[in-house]
Amino acid sequence: MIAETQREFVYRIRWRPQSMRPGAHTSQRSGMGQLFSGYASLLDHPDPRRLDLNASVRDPYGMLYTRVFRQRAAIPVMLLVDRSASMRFGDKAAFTAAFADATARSAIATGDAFGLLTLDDGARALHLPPTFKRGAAQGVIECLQEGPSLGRRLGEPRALATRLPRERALVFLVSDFHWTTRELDGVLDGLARHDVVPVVVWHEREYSALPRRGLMSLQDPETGRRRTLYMRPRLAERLRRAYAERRAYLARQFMRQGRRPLFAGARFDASVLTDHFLRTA
Amino acid sequence: MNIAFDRPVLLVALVLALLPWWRLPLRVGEHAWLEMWPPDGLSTGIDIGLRIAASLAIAALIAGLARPYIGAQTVEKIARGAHVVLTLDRSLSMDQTFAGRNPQGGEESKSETARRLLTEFIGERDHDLFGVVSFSTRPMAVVPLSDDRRAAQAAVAAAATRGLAFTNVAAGLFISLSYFKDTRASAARAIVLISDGAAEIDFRSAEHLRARFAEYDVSLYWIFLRTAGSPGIFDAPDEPRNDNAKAMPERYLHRFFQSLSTPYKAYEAENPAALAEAISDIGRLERRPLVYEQRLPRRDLSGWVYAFAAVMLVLGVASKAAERELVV
Repeated sequence: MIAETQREFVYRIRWRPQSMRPGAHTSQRSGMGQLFSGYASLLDHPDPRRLDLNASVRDPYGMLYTRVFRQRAAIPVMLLVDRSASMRFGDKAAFTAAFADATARSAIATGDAFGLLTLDDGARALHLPPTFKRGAAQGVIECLQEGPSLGRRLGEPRALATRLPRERALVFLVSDFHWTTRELDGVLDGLARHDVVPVVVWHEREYSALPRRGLMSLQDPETGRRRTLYMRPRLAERLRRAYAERRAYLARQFMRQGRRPLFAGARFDASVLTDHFLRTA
Repeated sequence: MNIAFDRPVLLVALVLALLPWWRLPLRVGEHAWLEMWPPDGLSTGIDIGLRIAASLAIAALIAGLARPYIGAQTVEKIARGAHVVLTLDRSLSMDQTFAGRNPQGGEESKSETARRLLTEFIGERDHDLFGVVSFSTRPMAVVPLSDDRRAAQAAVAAAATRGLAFTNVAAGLFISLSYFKDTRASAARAIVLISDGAAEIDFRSAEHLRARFAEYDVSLYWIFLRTAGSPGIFDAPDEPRNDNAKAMPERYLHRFFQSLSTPYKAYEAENPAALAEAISDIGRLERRPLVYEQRLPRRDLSGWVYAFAAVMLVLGVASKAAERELVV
């Protein structure tokens, strides 16, 4: 199913997590680590191994100082997957599954907890609370590979907030974002506490390589509405422009949340993600 | 216009014409998000147009199955012309030539000449109503007054078959006059009597005829096909003792016709050219405005309806041919 190529990617965060659990990310907590944060009295930090002779000698009162370092902490990595019917188009489901697999591997490899939640009609939603357990995500990812549910629309955004970890998490939001403004705002509001990396999955067939001329009858998988379209180069051009505008609009919305969205192609490529993180974080 | 149906029950199926407004028979592809497609007036127009065409096609097919027709009806028409009853003598002598011989070689008998010229006459006059009566011993109503030219021409042609012995003018005229009993008075009415001889009319018949001519206001044209050597209409007798109806029936018939209160004109034709002249003369005279009713037979409309359905279906087929799919 998933190619045995480079499947992990590197992600970075710009905030200092509060987590007690040691991990890979620079945290605000002092403790064992490499990042120097300051000096403290040996009485406060009774760790003679970190005794800083230089600082101690400089002190006119003869206090002994130890060096304090920032601990590197683990964070929860949440994957939020849109499983509304529009994700049925093309091989978006395969992309999602590949992406989930890569994220799970990357999170475990980095030492973070991995959790998964689908944006779905309540009952069918998949939910894996963040866990450090290796391989725990496997079952859920297999479920994802089966394709999106026939759910018509997104679940309730409020339920979303309660199912996410209370502490700040890195949230990958995988969707085609074929949502109304209200749905988009609702989801983004529910995620305001977290560091959201939007991954926009568009299949290029949605807007390119359309038939040059002819009649097309298209159905919307979510609303079931049908439309007859007379395809011609001008209409195709207008559709491409609409997609470009949508892209700009989405980028604007996400930038307000602090992250640039990643527009992924139809095929999953881990290096694209690494690249994205290197450029944005 | 009253359109009716043979099988109106089938019209219940017209409900099916609503089907295209539910689904069009185009193959449906799925697109991720239809909202992304910009509003497009042309597409909407084509969509609505196709639905209308499909609806009309279904409706027309069902209407065709119910077999629509326009019922028989009468149409009132106004034209310039007359009601003409051709009263043809079919006595034996009509089969002879103007020279009084049996026709030989290329010669034309009197009845043949009359037939040829009358057929032309009927063909030329578009708005006249023609009736045909033939008579010899007994009169025969051949074709009633109608605008059916072919029937009249066929009747004239049929009069060419060999005739009988006698010439019973009065009986022929009675039948001819009876044609006008039911027609409206607006048109000019004329009886064209074509004969090559005459017969005595008895007193009772004469009075009767006089009254009928006056009642129906019918003008009379007598074309007398005179055989060479035989007595003519306008001939005066040589001797006073021959001046009676038995000896000179032509002269006396002519005098009787002259005594009618309605217009009368006599033509003595001694050869085919004179006959042609007489007929064209009548054609000139009888041109008065004429209101007549034309009966239109019931007309089956299902052919038209099916043709219309076919045109609509062609639109549908064209749309199917133009159908494309989104390749994913």
